[in-house]
Amino acid sequence: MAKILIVDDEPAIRFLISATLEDEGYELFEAADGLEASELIQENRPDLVILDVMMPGLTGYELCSRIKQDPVTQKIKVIMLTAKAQEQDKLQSRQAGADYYLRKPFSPMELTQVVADLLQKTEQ
Amino acid sequence: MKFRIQTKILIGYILIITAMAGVIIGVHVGSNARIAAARRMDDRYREAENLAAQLMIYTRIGESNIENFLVDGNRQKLIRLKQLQTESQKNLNRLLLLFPGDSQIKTAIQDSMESTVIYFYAVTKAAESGDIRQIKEERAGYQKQLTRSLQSQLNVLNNLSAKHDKAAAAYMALSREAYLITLVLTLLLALAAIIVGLFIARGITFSLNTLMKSIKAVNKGQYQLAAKTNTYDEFEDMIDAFNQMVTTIKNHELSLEEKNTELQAQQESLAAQNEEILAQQDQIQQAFTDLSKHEELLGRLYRFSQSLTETIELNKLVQNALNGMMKEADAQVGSFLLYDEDSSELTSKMSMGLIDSGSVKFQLNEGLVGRTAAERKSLIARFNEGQLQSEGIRGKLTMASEIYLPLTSDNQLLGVIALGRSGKNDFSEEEQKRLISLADQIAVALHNSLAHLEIKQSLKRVQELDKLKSELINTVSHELRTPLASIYGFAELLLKKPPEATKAKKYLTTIYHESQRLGELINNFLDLQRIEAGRFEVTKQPVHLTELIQSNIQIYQGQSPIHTLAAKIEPNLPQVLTDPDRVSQVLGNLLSNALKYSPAGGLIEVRAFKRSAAEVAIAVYDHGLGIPKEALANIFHPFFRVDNSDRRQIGGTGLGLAICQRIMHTLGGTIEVQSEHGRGSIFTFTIPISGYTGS
Repeated sequence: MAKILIVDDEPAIRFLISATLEDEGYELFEAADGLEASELIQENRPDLVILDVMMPGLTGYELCSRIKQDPVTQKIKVIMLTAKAQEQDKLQSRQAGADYYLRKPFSPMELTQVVADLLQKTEQ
Repeated sequence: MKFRIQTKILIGYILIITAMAGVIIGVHVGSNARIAAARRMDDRYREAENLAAQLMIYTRIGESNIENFLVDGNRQKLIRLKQLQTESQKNLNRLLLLFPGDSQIKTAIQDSMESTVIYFYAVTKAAESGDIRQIKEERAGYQKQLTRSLQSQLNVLNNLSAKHDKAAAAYMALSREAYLITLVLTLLLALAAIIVGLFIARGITFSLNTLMKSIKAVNKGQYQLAAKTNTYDEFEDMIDAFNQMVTTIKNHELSLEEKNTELQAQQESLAAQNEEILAQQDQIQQAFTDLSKHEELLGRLYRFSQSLTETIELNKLVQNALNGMMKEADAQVGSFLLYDEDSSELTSKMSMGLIDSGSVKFQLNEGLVGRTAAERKSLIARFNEGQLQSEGIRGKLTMASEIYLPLTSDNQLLGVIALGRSGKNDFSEEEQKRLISLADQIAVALHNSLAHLEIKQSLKRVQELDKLKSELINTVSHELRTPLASIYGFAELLLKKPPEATKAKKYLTTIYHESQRLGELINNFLDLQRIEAGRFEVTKQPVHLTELIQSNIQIYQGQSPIHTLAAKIEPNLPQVLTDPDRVSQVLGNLLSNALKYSPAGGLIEVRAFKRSAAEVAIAVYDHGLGIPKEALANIFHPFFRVDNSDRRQIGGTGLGLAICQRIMHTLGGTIEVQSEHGRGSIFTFTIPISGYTGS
């Protein structure tokens, strides 16, 4: 069963993502900030991380870079969520090594589809 | 009719030569005949003497030839004898011809020669026939007569000699006489010539003397004409010419004198002009000296002002200006004070040699600095030994001359420069002028520098605002998108994947809360926009703050029973003139925050007191999370939230405090915060009693 880590400082968003993915057959974890997420990644080795960009402490970009640079964790798929308005966010996400990029507000159906696609790729 | 001198001399000499010729010819004609006769006589006797002498010789030679022939028989000697005989005959004939009238001598001569001639003839004849005996006979015959013949011959010769001597003497005497006569006559003529010469010379000398007298007179400057000499010669011409010349010279001199007078007048006027020119030259020289002094001063001023204009940075400008002014004024004490229009205060920006360390402040009209500023006129002061310098800047000098210069630009007071120098040397008028002019330049540079500073600051503000604006947009976007994402997401889930009822209710509750949050956010944001755009309406009225505080406490206590809310209000708190709704909004916001960040059971206290004669303060105390030190400075900025996940759990828009601050500013009050991280915070805001509004 694929493991998915949800990282967002907004409880409402974490709740939304959990609600979206809970019936899809994944094991879900939640973290409220970057540091907590780091710890969970080390402990649980998720297959995919859904990562909010604007978080106190460690930002989403920084955390994504860390995941992708560490040989142990670099295979983990990362979906970036952003509430910012600028185009440069997309570029920054790509530079940080994110596999996918979603802008808030996003469609839970789309997220479900993206998660499924990314995890399928991992299996292959 | 003129007699040229040449003519005169010529005539003189012609007369003399004619006389001389006449005399000589006369003398000759008179004595020549006699002399000629005497000479002829002399000649004849001389010839006779010679002939007689020859005859004697012939006689002896003939005899000797005959004698020799007889000895040697040489016939040659007979030939010679024949020649001698012929010669003797010839001589005798000639001799006889000389004295045709003198028979006595003729006879004597014939007698003396007759026997000899006959002898020679006979011998010759005998020789021709060769008859030597005959010859011998003849000779023997002749021998007897020879001595007598020779004697008579000698007598004749002596006679003739004597006669010749006599004739020669007569001739000589005649000749001498004629010579003497000629000599005397010549001498007489020479004398006559000298006399004529002297006469002519006298005439010339007379003319020359006459001329000379005039020349000497002319030389002495008396233009006297030479007298007429009536000599009718060149001298007369010369005197005429001379007189003419004198007249001409006189006229020339007269005209020269006139010209001289004229020239003298010109010279005088020239001298006057020259003097004028010299005076002007002096003036020019003076002006030039002044000018070069000015130029030097101007150069210095120019460099100074150049250095000022090149300095736009305020501190550097002040330093340069003060240094320059102190150098220019030879001052040991100086202060550069800047005027602040808002506070009407002058504060020293930079000082040198002052007793007071740190900055010095003057109010308008306070002391000499204040007076200079108020009157905008430079001021000079001095204090002597023992005097207190309470009025002006207090320099480390015991006695000094001071000058205070206002810095004004465009009629706007910018500051004052105060300078002091030790000693009794007061600031001269010129120095004062120069320093004022320098101060004016400094004022211009200062104005520029301040304007530059202002522009720089406003530019920085604009840049900051711009940055803030884009940050704000970013933040607003983020803040709006987050609740929207929840609303949108749950709505989609409800529509596309309808969950069971309990879950659905949970989804709907979230949608509801997030919608509320979104609405609140939009309201706050619009409030903030209105305030910042100046479209925030305030309705002031007398307000009893005690009531307002009590009612707010009641409301919030009702909302959160888990906290304890209390009020501590100073008695006799004065009424204030303000907008009660806005004050309630601020207080409510602060109370809401206090509740949010305080733990359950935490005490929240509202204190109200009169902080000064002009204002009342309301403070909200809580014992909640407190605010980290580094965050305090930004706590009133829009959308600022202390980054901490604990706080994120607590909802909020990040706009509340920003709005509070702007409301208080609008009401003429203030708001401030004191906080200790983990121990709680105190938010205090003040309301002016008089109802004065800031803007």
